Amino acid sequence: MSYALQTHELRKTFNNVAAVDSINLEIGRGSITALLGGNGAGKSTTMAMLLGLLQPTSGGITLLGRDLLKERASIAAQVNFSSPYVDLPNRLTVRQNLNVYGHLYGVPHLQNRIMELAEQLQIIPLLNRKYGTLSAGQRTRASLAKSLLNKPQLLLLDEPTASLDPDTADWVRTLLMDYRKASGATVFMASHNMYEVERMCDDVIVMKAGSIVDRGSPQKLLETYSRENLEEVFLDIARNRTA
Amino acid sequence: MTSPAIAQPESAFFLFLRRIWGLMLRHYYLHSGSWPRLIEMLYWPIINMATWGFTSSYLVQKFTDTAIISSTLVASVILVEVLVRVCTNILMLFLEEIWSRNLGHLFASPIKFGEYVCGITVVCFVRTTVAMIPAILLAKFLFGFSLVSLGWPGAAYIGLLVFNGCWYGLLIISLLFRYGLAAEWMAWMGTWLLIPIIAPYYPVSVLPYGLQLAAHALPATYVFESLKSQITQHEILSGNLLIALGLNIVYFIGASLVLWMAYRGAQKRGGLLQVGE
Repeated sequence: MSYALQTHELRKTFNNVAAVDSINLEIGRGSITALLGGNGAGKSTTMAMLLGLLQPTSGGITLLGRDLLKERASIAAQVNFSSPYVDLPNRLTVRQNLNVYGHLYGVPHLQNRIMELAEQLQIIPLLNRKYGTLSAGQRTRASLAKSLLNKPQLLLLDEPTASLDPDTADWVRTLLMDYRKASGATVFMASHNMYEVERMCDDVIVMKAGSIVDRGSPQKLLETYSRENLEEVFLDIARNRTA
Repeated sequence: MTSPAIAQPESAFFLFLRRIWGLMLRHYYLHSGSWPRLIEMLYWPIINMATWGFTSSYLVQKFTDTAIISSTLVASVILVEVLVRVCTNILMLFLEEIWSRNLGHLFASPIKFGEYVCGITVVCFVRTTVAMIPAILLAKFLFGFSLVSLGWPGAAYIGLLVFNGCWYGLLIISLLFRYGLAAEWMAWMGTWLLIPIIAPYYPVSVLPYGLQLAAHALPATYVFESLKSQITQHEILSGNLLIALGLNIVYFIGASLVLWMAYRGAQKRGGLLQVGE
């Protein structure tokens, strides 16, 4: 099977404490997979390693069939990400930010692509506003536009609907699912929103203390833990209640 | 929604140029939309030029036989500004990324580290040129000193000092990669650290012996020795310029290695996402 993302014994330690402890991931192409876990579970560290921003202590990462540690720059052209915790330059307008990143990602027909995304994400009125003046929800949409600029085959999202009102959050989820359906792209996301995970994801990976403690489709996890929603499953795992 | 994998057959070189252009655009947008940044960019070269220029004019009026000293002083002030501006500009360009918490997006993009360094160097050249032109014109207008009067050596001096400022600026941003914004004040101090040692306004011989040794290890010292010799004795020290070029090459390679190691260190510590205090 062809995987969009694979890790092999991926490990990261800080001062001899394992933030991520030898995890093995295999994420199929075209899937939407959620990475769940409480604070300090290792989600952000895993994401940072997948983006090439953090060097693993040991282990390997293969993205879209290629070794990330050896071919980061060429892989990065087909990958993108969005996180509410990493800003775009605040003093630049949304259009200027998209222009800059469009060039960095080598996006062809850039102006057309920016307008296409602005329409899809309903940010046309925001294009000439400085990123720093936007509300949290508007920033999330602008950041999503940046993450879709290069039509990524692998989209890494950190809490994609954080700070969004329920209506906008629902709209963003639909947009992401439509993007996956139309493009066949793989979406790998960290989220604390269990409703979102149940609605969007084919596969859920649960991390705790740097290790993967469970994995399966939302339905399978509900059955395994005999629960009615993923939030209860999450609490069971966080509080060491056995399945 | 449209389908992915739309990449058209663009050559690797064209994509490289686009990435450099993207970085240039990022800073063009930043500066064109911010008049305080433009004023800051022009301010220090003009202030320093004016202060030292008027001081030297006073010396010429007050004492005889000081015209040559005055020319040396004005020329030195301009060239010191070139060196300091290059290094300050590299620092500023990097700080802008830290202040805007943009390093994560930047280094997760296809840009390679070497391309990033190349990009900020190009932007730095442009920024330094724009910053220095008013000061150079002011020197001609107020004090009758023209850099052009130095001939080809003038161009060599500027080139060598830009080269010196570049590698020194890279060393300074290595400090920020390693220690984050906690080292910002050290970085700003660092931009002026070399100036007393390279003896721009006085002979190297007035320095204590230990500092003389340090001075002779720095390319800028040889540039200023030649400048002073050209103005006071009409003798261009070509050998000095070659030594400066050789030292610059060695230090540039060394500084690039230090910066690369600092970048890799930041990658190991997670510093690219959390460069802060």
